[in-house]
Amino acid sequence: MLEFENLRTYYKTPQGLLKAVDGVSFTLEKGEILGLVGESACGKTTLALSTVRLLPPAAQVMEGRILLHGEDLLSKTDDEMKKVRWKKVSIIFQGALNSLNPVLPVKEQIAEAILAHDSISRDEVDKAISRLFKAVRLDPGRRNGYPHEFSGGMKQRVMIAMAIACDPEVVIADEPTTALDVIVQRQILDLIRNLRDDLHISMILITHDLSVVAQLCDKVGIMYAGKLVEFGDIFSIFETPRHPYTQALLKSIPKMEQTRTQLSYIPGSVPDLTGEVPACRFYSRCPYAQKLCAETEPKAEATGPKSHVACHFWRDLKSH
Amino acid sequence: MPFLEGSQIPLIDSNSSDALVQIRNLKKWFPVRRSIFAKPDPNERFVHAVDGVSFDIRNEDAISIVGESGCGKTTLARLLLRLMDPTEGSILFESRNIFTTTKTEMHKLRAQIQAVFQDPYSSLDPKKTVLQIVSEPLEVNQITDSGKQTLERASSSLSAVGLHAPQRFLAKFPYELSGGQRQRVAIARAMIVNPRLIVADEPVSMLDASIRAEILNLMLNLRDRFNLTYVFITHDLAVARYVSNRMAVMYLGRIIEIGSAEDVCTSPIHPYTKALLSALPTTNPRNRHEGVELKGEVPSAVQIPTGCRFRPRCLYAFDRCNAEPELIRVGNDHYAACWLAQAA
Amino acid sequence: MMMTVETQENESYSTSRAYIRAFSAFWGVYKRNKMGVIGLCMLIFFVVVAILAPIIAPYDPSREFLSSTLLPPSWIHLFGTNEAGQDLFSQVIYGTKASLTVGFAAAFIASTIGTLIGITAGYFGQLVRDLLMRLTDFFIVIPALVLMIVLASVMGSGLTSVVLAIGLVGWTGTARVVMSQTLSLKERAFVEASRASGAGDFYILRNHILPNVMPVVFAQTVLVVANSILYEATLTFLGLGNPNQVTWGQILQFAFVSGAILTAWWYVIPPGLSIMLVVLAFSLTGYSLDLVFNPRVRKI
Repeated sequence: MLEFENLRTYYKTPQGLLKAVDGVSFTLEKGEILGLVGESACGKTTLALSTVRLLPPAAQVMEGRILLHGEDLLSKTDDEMKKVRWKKVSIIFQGALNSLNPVLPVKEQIAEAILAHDSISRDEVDKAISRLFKAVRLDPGRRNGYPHEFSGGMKQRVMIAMAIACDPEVVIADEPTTALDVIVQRQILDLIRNLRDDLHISMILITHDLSVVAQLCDKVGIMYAGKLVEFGDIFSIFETPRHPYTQALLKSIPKMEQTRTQLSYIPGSVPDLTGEVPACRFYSRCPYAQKLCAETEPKAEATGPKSHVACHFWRDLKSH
Repeated sequence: MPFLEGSQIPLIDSNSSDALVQIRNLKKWFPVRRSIFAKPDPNERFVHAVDGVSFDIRNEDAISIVGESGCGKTTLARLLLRLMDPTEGSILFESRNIFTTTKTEMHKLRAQIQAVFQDPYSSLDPKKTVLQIVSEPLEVNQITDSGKQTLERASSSLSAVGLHAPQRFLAKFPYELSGGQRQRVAIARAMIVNPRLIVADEPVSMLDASIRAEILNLMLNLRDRFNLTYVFITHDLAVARYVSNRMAVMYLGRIIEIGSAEDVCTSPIHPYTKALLSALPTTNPRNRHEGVELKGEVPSAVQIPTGCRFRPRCLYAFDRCNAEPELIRVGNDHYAACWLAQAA
Repeated sequence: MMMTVETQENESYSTSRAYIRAFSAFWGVYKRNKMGVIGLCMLIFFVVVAILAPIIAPYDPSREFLSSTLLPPSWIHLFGTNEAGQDLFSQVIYGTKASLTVGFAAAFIASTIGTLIGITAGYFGQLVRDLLMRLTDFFIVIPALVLMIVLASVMGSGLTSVVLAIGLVGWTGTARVVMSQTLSLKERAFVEASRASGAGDFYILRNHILPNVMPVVFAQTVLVVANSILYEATLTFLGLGNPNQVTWGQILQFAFVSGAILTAWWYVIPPGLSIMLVVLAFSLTGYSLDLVFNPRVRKI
């Protein structure tokens, strides 16, 4: 229902054009929680901002379409986008804990979000806010409080409440649990799943933490240096990963369930995305790299009905 | 929940003098005072950051102190590094109290205990080159005599942390290095004075997942080669399990469970430990388990609950819990501070 | 976003090479700002004029051409002459040297005082900070010019008094900026790391705090120089300078005193314009430096 077609978003920098998102295609189905995983500078936040058209001035979508029920969001005017934002697609930004205005009561801030997109009476807004608080498991009696009176986990719930305030179809959550403690993180993840079940929201969950994905998501997209290197359902990605990066990533996370096996890591670092880039972005760190990988960019090949991988040699590689 | 056949054996055995570090009744309270000019208040309130911690760190241990934010683990680390003085209690390093050493002895002591911090970018002075950064402990403690000696020691320290061909790195600034390289430089800096103990405060939490193992493996490797002892401060239990052989769980300024990493993770006794472990997201999507419900939020460290400090949130609290439990033995080198672990 | 800069494999470990690289990186960013580059060029122009004054100036500025008093500009006297028959072009050129020297000297004093007060206030505890900040507020509240006039009069007229007066009053802006920078620096992990290695307060102040506030101090100083030149012009215009020392302000003072200010435009405009251009040059440069050192302000 939300389809990304060959999205390319580049940043203009003094050093050249930075290819933050460079040809990403995938589909989010209704009622799905899709995990978009990647490490720093892989482009996942840029992709999120491209979807709601809130990119910084230096960034520009160069190519591609984002189809919501068949309509291209990228070709809409600013006015049309205003009707889409929040009512159809909403976003919880990274660092959401600091996004609340410290001098306004929390209620006012949610009201602001609602009133900006719906013209309803103040009374109804208040009722809506109480409902929202209950939906995110917060005590509605606290809605007049100020942000500093809320803990980290509570603030994150407020941000979630804001994001679902106008009953959107898609919510994009950018690192919603990164700054939170383990127990609170778990509560937020459970909340997100419950909201999906109750409200039938589809979600893109952006994170660098694979265990969050394993806990919550139905599908996974692995991003690396602006490319979507692998995409598929949660079980295939975790049990039969095809792309060398995915395999290496899975081997590098410590697992409580296993006794200690040596963790591997990926030597090197993400390539500089301005100017010249090798054809396969993972070339410099891939244990299976061949000459072909430096010259020709691997195209996404289907490995199943709803999964694909972008690697020249995925068929030959062992999937563990 | 069944009562265990617990004994009354307390954690601290006064004959444990072979321990490298002995922490006894350590307390650090921060006054909640508005201004330095306000009158001292008899009913003054304190943030009880560390509120009575006692345990031993043995030679070549790799012990993790885990807990959520506000539990006091960071303050404990700062006290170990003598970056602040305690309100009460002592830390004995090789049987000498680090808080009462003389100035001259302090120099030697500092060289024995070094630190690695969380943010590899901000823990390196952006205006200094790698050489200057790595050799700073030598300079501060007036250890080397000549520039040549400094250079040699810096180079060998960099090689030891895996930055081979150190001459490539000596003249670089931190912004020219990757996150993993910066953290290696931070470790090289800690290693250059041949310490016995390294306190690592969240050493990998700001690094990408795929390079965390790089640093963790390096630290383990250094421990084997140089007979180091580690104290890891972390909130990430999976990392703690991977990298340490002992684990201590802190809650509101106290250690509520301590033991081998294996025991604490596979057979946790304290309800808080259990909650923490079950809250961890799984790494196996087929194994999605329910998290343990806890009541309420972490209370403020100013108003510590009376009795067992975990009581307000504990699902198993009973009448004995209005007295604060001490750490008692629940297994072979496994201790928990919970009345449920003691026979009635 | 983290970017790794690739450098050559066989880089020697020389620290001076590292600083050269750092400077090139800085210049790469600085030159993107056109206004900053223009300001810097103007600055360099004035400094060159000041240094080469004895060579460029056609005449000795104190030489009196008694038959050529108050002449408008001509090929012989490019800026005309004053009421004593002195060549104004030479005067303005030599005045460049004096005005710039006074400006730099005063700014140097002000910056030093401001930096010392700033890092002390920022680094040590709240009591010290409160005391020093109240002191700073005291100096801010009193009108700077009034204070300078009082100081200069008390110390006797002359350029040294002018320099001291400006320096002892103009440090407050630097102090505040440095204090706020120090406050945030002392919480940074590398200061903690240094302390954990065993460094004492003075070591940390000298090796970690000071180098990291220098960019900000530098940017501030450039602006302080601009202000100092203006204050110098004002003070000498008011008669607190040394009549035997040619500065732009001094030229203006003579213009005023001799009444020529109303009739001889060539007497007034060159020094006035020079002051304006130099202040503009310093301001543009200082603002651009601020942009470089304070990336949050940068739009790029």
